[in-house]
This record gives sequence, C-alpha cells and structure tokens, in this order.
Amino acid sequence: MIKVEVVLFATLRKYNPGGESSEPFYLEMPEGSTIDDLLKTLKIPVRESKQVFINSRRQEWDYLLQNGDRAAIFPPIAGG
Amino acid sequence: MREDSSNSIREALKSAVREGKAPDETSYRKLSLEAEQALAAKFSCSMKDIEIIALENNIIPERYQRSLGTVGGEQGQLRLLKSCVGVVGLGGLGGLAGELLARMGVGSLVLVDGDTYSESNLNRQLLSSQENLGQKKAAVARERIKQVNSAVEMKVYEEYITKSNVDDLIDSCQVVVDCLDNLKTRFLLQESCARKNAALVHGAIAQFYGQVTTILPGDKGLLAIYGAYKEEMNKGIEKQLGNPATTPALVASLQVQEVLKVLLNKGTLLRNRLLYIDTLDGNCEQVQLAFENDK
Repeated sequence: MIKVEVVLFATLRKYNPGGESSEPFYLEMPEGSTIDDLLKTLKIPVRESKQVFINSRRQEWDYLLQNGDRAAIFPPIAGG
Repeated sequence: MREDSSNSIREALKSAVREGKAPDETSYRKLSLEAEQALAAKFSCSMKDIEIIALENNIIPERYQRSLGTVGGEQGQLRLLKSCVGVVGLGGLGGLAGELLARMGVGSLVLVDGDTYSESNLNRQLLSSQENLGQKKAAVARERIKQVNSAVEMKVYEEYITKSNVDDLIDSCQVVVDCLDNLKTRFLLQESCARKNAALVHGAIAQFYGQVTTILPGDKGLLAIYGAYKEEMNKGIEKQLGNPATTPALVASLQVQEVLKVLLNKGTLLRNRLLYIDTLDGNCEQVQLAFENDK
C-alpha cells in the first residue's frame, strides 16, 4: 500500500471522507493506483475535478501515484 | 512634443508649483490638478504630457503624491505614465482593474469588451449602475476613467476579442490583464500575448474562490492550470455557483498589483505559480506551474 496526502479545495471539500473540510488528510491506496483511482475512491465526479496537482504539478488521470505524494484537487474556476 | 514647447512648459511650471507637505511633514514641490488643466489648455497638449514634464523636473502632480512610496518615487510614476496596459473583459474583474490602473497613473489603457450591462451585473460589477443598464461596458469604462484620471489616454474597443482581431487590439500593450469569463478567449489571449511579447496577468473567480497568476511570453500559464483547451470546459464552477460582490474586487486588486510589479520591476511575480484563494476557509494555496527542469 502507499500513503497519499490529499487536499480538496473549494466545492470539493464535501468529498472529504472525514466530513466536509478542506483540511489535508491521508489516504492509503494499493500500489499502482492512478489519479483516476483516487478520484473514484473519493467518489469525486470527473466533471467536478479537472485540475489535479501532484506535489504542486498538474498531472493527468493516468499518473501513477507514489508513496508520499501530495494531491491537491481543485474545481476549475473561470469567471470574471 | 517639440523641445521648444517642453521648454515653455518647464518655464510655466515654475510659477504653477506650490509647496506641498507630505503626511510625514517633509516638503515637496506640488502641482495641483487645476494647474495641470490650465497648462494643458494653454499649451494645447495632454495632461499626461504636463505630468511627465513635471515629474522629470521633480515636481509631483498632487494626485500621485500618496502613491510615490509604493511605485518608487518620481521615476516609478514616470514609468507608469509611459506604460500601456490592456484590460480585456470589463465585467467584475476588468471594471475595477481599469479604474485601479487609472488611479495609479498608468498612462495608456486599452479597454476591450463587446458586452452591455444587464441587471444581473449589478451585484458585483463596479461600473454597472441602475442608470447604465443596456450601455456598452467599454463605453462606460471610458467615461468613468475620464472622470477619475483625465491624463490617461485610452483606446476603447466595444467588441469581443477573436482569433482575427486579438493581435491588433493588444498591439501596443506591455502588459494585458485577463479579466475574461470564459476559457476559450482566455487561451486566445495568452497565445496573442506570447506573440506580442506582452506579459499576461490572469485572474478568475467563482463564488468564494479566486485565482491569480502572471504569465510571461513562453510560459505554460493556462496550459499548466487547465490542460489543453477543450470546448466542454469553457466555464468553471462559477456557472453553477455565481459570483458575489467581493471576490471580483479581491482578485482584480491582486491582478493590478501584479501589473504594477511587472511595470516597475518590483517584488516577486506570481510567475509559474498559481495563487488559489479560498475565502470561505481563509486559505491560500500556491501551486507551482513549472519547474526548473521543465522544457
């Protein structure tokens, strides 16, 4: 298993398994898990999570999570 | 301006100058707005010309006195007066950004928006009012800026940016402020700024949330935030959540600070960093958008 730190921003805080919060939390995932697996585990619909940054760098859905990664997940904002 | 005209203005300035007292009691040579207007009329030149000659001679237009500590004295103010900044999108972000840039004395502004004011703008768009519903946002911004600082020269375009007009519209700008409300045109603008060698200050808002980053030509910028543009991602969560009065003002202010930093070469830009602001929890997150070893 690998341990990943997760932070859910803005409207995604409601998917925090410990209750609605934007506080960081840790999640254990099987080795070989991807961002896509992480989103499924957290039950975050893909349309709500266009931006996933691993260790501050944008990554695509097939990125292989590493032990100790920090995943920051944002909903896209584009208003002006 | 011809040299003999400049010399005549310099002479006339001598009698127009008064002694000013700064809040810390130091004295300075001040030029009042009324004196500026009289000189511009007398010499048939712009207020901006008068202000530039004044500042070059250590005379401070009173209107900028409180800014000098921020912009780096007369030289900083001169640099702003000689700069050109584009504001693309004149809604919640752009209406305020344009006004703030004018108050700071950025000498040339390019204002672009094809939209008109509607009632649903009244909750957050600074320049909208019950009296100007239905009027073009760009025309309203021009009038407002004239009232705030008539030294500012403006090019005003009452049209939306498109692939075919964007390069021409922002042609003279050193910095462009991205105050748009959709990703399609935001990407167009970034591409154009890269071609035109202009810095782009991006800002976006949704409900309690906002983000800002500064993109220099060649930076990944929006690509590093949103990934490659796809038609279905044109809008973000603001489509469902809307925007209040406050987040446009917050983000527009941060954008204007970035513009000033670019123009004045001060501080550390939010370059390759996205500042994501969550006012609901009072948190900010900085996301790195590029790294040393990135190509």
